[in-house]
Amino acid sequence: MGDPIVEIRGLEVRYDGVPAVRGIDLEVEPGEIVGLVGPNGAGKSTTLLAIMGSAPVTGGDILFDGHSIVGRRTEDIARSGVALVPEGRHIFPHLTVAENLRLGLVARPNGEKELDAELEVAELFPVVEEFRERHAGALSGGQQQQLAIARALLARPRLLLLDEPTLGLAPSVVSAVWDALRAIRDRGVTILLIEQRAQITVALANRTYVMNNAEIRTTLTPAEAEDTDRIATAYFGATAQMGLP
Amino acid sequence: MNVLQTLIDGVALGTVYALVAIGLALIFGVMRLINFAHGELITAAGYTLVVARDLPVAVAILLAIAVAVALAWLMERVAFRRLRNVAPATTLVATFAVAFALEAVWLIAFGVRGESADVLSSLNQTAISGEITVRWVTITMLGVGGLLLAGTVLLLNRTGIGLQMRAAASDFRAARLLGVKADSVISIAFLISGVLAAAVAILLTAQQPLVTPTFGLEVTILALVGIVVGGMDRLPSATLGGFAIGFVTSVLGVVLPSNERVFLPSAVFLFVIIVLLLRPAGLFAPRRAGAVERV
Repeated sequence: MGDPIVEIRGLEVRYDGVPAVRGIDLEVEPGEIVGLVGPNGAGKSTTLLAIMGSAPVTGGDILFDGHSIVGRRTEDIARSGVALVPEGRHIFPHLTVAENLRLGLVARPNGEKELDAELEVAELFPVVEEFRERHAGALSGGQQQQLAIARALLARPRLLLLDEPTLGLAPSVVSAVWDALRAIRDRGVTILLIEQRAQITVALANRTYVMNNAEIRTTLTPAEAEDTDRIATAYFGATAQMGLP
Repeated sequence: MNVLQTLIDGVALGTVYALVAIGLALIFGVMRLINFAHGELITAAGYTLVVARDLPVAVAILLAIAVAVALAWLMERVAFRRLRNVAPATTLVATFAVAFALEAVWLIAFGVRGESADVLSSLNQTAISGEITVRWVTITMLGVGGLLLAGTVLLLNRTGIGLQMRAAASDFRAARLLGVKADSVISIAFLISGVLAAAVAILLTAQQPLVTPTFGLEVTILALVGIVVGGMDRLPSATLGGFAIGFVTSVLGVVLPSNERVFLPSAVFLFVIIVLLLRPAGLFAPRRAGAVERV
């Protein structure tokens, strides 16, 4: 294994003095899919926002390619090769699908903004190509999610951060998104993924961190994907033994 | 009263107010900031024409544009950039502060009575006479105003930076996550608003050359009313609102008997009240509620 593409050391994030992330350590190696699971309010989304420079880091460090990115502006981090598909997708509803995709090219280095790059994305998400002249707000939830991921990929990120990409999607669309994630990983893009579907995440990811109450409680490997008791215990705490999400 | 004459004059003044409205709406779109100090950009360009009135016309016009653009850039850089993450009420008060501070500067520098910016008075000559009378200044307002409006729309819809501005206006945080540079987008919006403000000053002084310390403020307040009437959440509706208020003001100025003209502002605001009672989201806002495109 090479050097980590992203390395988080003792990260602390506080909103108005209230800790949202407390001293977490996390590593993602190039080419990996790494999962981040845990109940709502555990600090998962805040961790991704901290990587993107969009959360108030009060302690610790975040290294991208070995260099600290704490304190850098969000747009500069995006332009250095990190893309976030945030929870809720955040597509631009009044812009067309094609315009949303063109915005994905903004983060690319100068001289690499050719639109033919869209063809790569069209292979993964044909629906995006099909509706390119339609307003993005007119797409279904699943189509909007695919657009959001396609747009992030157009930036040719080396690290793709995904925050609950299957939230609120129909089961058939969920499987399409999972297939796309595998294909993206196979193309060499490193992925840090937040998901509510703990078991499938543990099975897919090289390593899955379980967060609860602003801290990382344990790390799970694909070999533990079938051990539902172990996942449930890690997910909900030592005493809980309820069904998996 | 000649109806065609009234309409032509109304459209010309409406076009100028549309330029004020689009400048204000651009800033509101990308910053959620109602920039009351926009009027001071118009006044600054007006006083530049006063100072430069003995220079060649082209030089005076270029100087007016340069001063308004520089002041717009300075306003953003010095006053508003630091306040980007504070409560909207704070930035609103800051725009008042900038406006009043600059108004004080005009008062000290030029006095209260006003100065003549007699640069383009030759445009007041008649171009078309007969059944209706059209002055060159009216044709210039229509031509230059139309070109600038079209240019702004083309910039927003046909260029990369325009797309980034529209994205930032829709969801600033999401735009930054995609690498859109917040500082650049906001600076460019201010620079465009500076150019538009200078154009307004040039057109208004061509029609009536007196520049007073409240020269730009009066136009801006009326244009703001127009933006609210039109629907401030979208650039086209805000611009149309600005146009409508200019048009209505011009028409009412003709329709009202000369001894009743003192009631012109009251009549305009009565129109505003009626519109907002019937269409609270704005006269030209889409009927469907929900997420909106602001630029």
